[in-house]
Amino acid sequence: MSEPRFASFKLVLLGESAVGKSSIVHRFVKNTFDDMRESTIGAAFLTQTISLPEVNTTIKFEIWDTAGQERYKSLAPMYYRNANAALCVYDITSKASFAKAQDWIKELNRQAPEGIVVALVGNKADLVDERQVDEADVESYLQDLRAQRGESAGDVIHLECSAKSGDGVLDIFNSIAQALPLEEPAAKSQQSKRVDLNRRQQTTLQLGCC
Amino acid sequence: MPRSDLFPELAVKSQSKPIHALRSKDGYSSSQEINGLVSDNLHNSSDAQIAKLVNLKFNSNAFALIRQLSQDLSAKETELILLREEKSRRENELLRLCNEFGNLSYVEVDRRLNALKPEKNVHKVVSAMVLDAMAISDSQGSNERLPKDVQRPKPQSRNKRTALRRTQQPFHKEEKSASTQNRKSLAEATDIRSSVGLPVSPNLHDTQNPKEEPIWPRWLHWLNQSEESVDLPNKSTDIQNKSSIENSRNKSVVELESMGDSFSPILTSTIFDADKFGFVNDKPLQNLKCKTSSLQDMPSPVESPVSISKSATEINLTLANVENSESGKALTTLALSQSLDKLKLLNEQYLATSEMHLKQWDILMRQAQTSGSPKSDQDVSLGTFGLKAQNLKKQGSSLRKMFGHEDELSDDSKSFKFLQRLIYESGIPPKHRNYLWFELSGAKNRAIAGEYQRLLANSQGTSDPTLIESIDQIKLDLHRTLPSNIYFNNQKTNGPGPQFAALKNILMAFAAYEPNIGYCQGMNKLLGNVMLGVNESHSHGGSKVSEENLFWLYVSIVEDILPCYSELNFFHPKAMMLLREDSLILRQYLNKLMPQLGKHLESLGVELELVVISWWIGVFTEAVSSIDLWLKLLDGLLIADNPRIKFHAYTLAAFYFYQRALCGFKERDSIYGFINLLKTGNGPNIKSNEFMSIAASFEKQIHTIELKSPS
Repeated sequence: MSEPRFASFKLVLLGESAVGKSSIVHRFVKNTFDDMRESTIGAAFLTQTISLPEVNTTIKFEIWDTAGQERYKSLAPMYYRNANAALCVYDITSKASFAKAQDWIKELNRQAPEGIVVALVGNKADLVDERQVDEADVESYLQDLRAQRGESAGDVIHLECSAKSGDGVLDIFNSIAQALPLEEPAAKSQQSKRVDLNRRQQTTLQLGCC
Repeated sequence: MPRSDLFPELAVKSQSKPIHALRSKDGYSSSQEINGLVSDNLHNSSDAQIAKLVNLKFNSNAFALIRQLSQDLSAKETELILLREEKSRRENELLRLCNEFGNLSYVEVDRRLNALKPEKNVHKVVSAMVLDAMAISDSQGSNERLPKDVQRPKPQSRNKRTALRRTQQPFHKEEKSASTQNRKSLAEATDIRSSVGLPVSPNLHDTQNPKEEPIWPRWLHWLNQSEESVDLPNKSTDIQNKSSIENSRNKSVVELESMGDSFSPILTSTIFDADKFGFVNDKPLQNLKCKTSSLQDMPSPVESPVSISKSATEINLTLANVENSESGKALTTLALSQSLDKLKLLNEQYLATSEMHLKQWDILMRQAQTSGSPKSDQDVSLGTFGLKAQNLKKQGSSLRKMFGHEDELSDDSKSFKFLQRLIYESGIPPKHRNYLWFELSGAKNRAIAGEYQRLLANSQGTSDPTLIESIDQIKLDLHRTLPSNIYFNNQKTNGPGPQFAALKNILMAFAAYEPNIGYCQGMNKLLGNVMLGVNESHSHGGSKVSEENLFWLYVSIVEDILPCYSELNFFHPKAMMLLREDSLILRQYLNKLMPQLGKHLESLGVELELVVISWWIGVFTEAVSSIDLWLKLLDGLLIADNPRIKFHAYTLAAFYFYQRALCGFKERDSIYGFINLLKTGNGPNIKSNEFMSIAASFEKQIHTIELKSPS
C-alpha cells in the first residue's frame, strides 16, 4: 500500500436562510443538534477530518458556513472562491428553498472554480409529513442538470439528511470526499503532509463509522 | 459657591425630566387634582375591570380615562417637584444653620451629605417603608416593641420621612394588609431557620442585645431578592417570598409606562442561574480562555495603562517563586502574605480608580444637566449633549460654559475631550448609560410621537413585497437571536422571553421605517445587545426606556452612528460590496501596523476579509467575547467623528489583543477556529480601557498611512 496521505479541502455551504446549514455542520463536526441555534452572521468556520481507509488518505474539510439571507449573496463569491466543494442546502418542507438551491447551483456552474464538487442536499428529512419537495421532482431536475453540465463537469451529488436525527449527514461528507480529486491537492499540500500521522489517529477516533 | 455645586443631586433631580414626562406637557397646572387619583393599581387590573371602570366612571369614554391618568401622572410629577423644592429649601436652611451654629464649613457638610448614598432599589425602599408602617402600628396597637436599631436599618432624614408620610396615604390600606402578610412570612422564616439549624433569636420581639443577629434585617434581605439570589431552604417559602415581593412591587408609584411594559429585572437572578445580562450559564468551554496578549510583551503604542498589569505580573512571579522554592513554610507564608498584600493593594487601586471615574461621571452628568437646561426652543430639540456630543464642541453652548472654556476660542474641543477621555477610560457607567445613549445617538431629536405605533401597524398589514421579505426574514431570525439569554428565550418554558416581543416589534417597525434597508442578519444581534445594555442601565438606576424610545435609539444607531458607504446606510443591501472593498483596506492597515501578524496570516493563506466582514456586519458582537466590552465599544462609536475609521481602529485593536494567540497557531484552520470561538463568549478577557486606548492610538496612526489603490 502507498504512503498515507493527507489532504485539505475548502468546502462552502450555501442555501436559503434557516434551511439548517449550520445544523448540518454542527452535526458533522460536533455530533450535536441544538434547537436554538443562533442565526449565522456573515459566515462561520469549522473544520473536521475524515479518513478514507480504502485509499489510505485523511481528508480535512475547512468548512465555511455562510449566512443565508438573500442580501449576503454578493459576498458568496468570497467564500466559494478557491472552494473545492459546495453544499447547496434546501429544506424538504419548503419549495422556495429548493428553488433557491437551484439558483446557487446555477451560479456555481457559471462562476465557481473549475472542478468544484457540488452536492444538492435536502435537510429536515425527519419532517416527512410536511414534505413539499418530492424526490421525483429533484430527480427530474438533476437529469436536466446533468445534461446541461455535460460529462466533464462531474456529477452533482444528491442526498437527503436530517441534522436533527443525524441521519445521512456523514454520508454527504463521505460522498464528497470520494468525489474530490485526491491526487492533485494532496501533491500541492506537501507542507501539511508532515503533520499527517498525528492527524490521522485523531480522525479515526472521531469517526469510527466510515 | 452656587447651590447647585453643593447639592448637585438635588439639582439633577429637579432639572432632569424623565423621558416619559414629555408626554404630559400641559400637566403642571393641575395640582388641585391630586386627590382624584384613579391610577394606583390600574395596571394590575384585568381588562374586564378596566372596561368596567371606563363604563362606570367615565361614561364609556376611554379618552376620559387616559386624560385622567395623564393628569394623575402630572399631578404626581408636580407633587414631586414641590417635594424636591421643599427638600432643597430645607437643606439650604440646614446648611446655613450648620455653618452658623455648628461651625461646619460648606465643604464639610457637602462631603457628608454626598456620602449618603441614595437608595435606588425600590424594593429596599418599599420594605423600609413597610417596616416603618409596622413599627408605627406596633407601637400604637400593642406593647410589643422592637429595638431601635432594628426598626429602621438606616437612619433617614426628616425630609424623607415627610415624603414617606405623604406617599403613604393613597395606599395606606394595602400597606396594612401587606404588613400582616409579611409578618406571616416572617413567622415562617423563623420556623425555617430553626428547622435548618440557623441561629434564631429566642424571643424576637424582646431582643435587646445588639450583638445578637437580629432576624429583621435578614428577613428584609430575603425581601430584596431582586438584587442577589438568596438560598431558600424550601420551595414553598420561595413562592411565599416572591408573592411578598410582588406585593411590595405593586405598591410602587404607578406610571403610565409600566402598563404593558414587559420589563422584568427580577427574572435574572431568581428563576435562572444567569449572569447579569441574562445569559444562562451553559458554557462548558469557559475554562478554555486563551492567553491574552499582555501589553508589556509588545511594542506598546500607548504608555498609560501599563502600571496595573505590570504589578499583576510581579505577583504571578512571586507566586511562581513560592511554588518552586522548598525553603520552608515560613518563607512561603511570608511570600504569600506579601502577595496577598499586593493583591489587596491592587484591588484597592482598582476600586479607587473606578470610584474616581464614577465620581467624575457623576460630576459631568450633574453639571451637564444643571447648566444644560434648555434656554431656547432650539436647545430643547438638540438635547444637552446632542448627537455625538456635538454641543460640547459648539461655541457658547451652555455645556462649554460649564467646563469653563467659553473664552478659550483657540481650544474648542477641550470639553469634548473630557467626555472622550472618560468614555475611553471607563466607558459610560450603567446608571448614566440610558440617558447618554439617548442623547449621544441623537435619538432624542429623532423621536416623533406616535410614529412608532403607526410603523408597527404598517408592518403588520403590508402588501409591499420588499417589506414582506424583510418581515419573513425577521420571523426566521427572532428565535435565533441570543437564544441563550433569558430576556429573549425562556429556557424553562421553551417560550419567548420577556423582551422577545419588543425585539420583534422594533425590527419590524424599522423595516417599515426604512424599507430600502429593511432587515439584515446582524441587526438582530445588535439590537439584542443594545437591549441588554439598556436593561443593565435600568437595573442600576438609569432612566427607564420605553419600547418606543428603544426603537428610536436603535434607528439612530443604525442610521447615524454606524458608518456609511458612499452615502449608503451600513446595512443597505448595496453597501455589502463596499464593505468588502473596505475590508481590503483593513488588510493594508494591518500589514503596516502589525507587520509580524500580517506576515504570519499571509503565510498561512488566511483570508482576512472573510473574518473582518463578519465582525463588521455584526457590529463587533462577533469580535469580542464580553458584553461589557462590547458596550464600551458602542459608547466609543457614539462619539466617533468618523465611524468608518473607528471600525478599522476597533478591528485592529481586536487583532492586537489576539495577536499573541494568532501568531502561536501554525495552521490556518486553527486561526479561523480561534476567531469562530470568539462569538461564543470564549475569547480572551480584554480590559476595556486597554482596548479603547489601543484603538485610539491606532485611529491616530491610520491617518498617517498612505493606501495603495486597490488592484
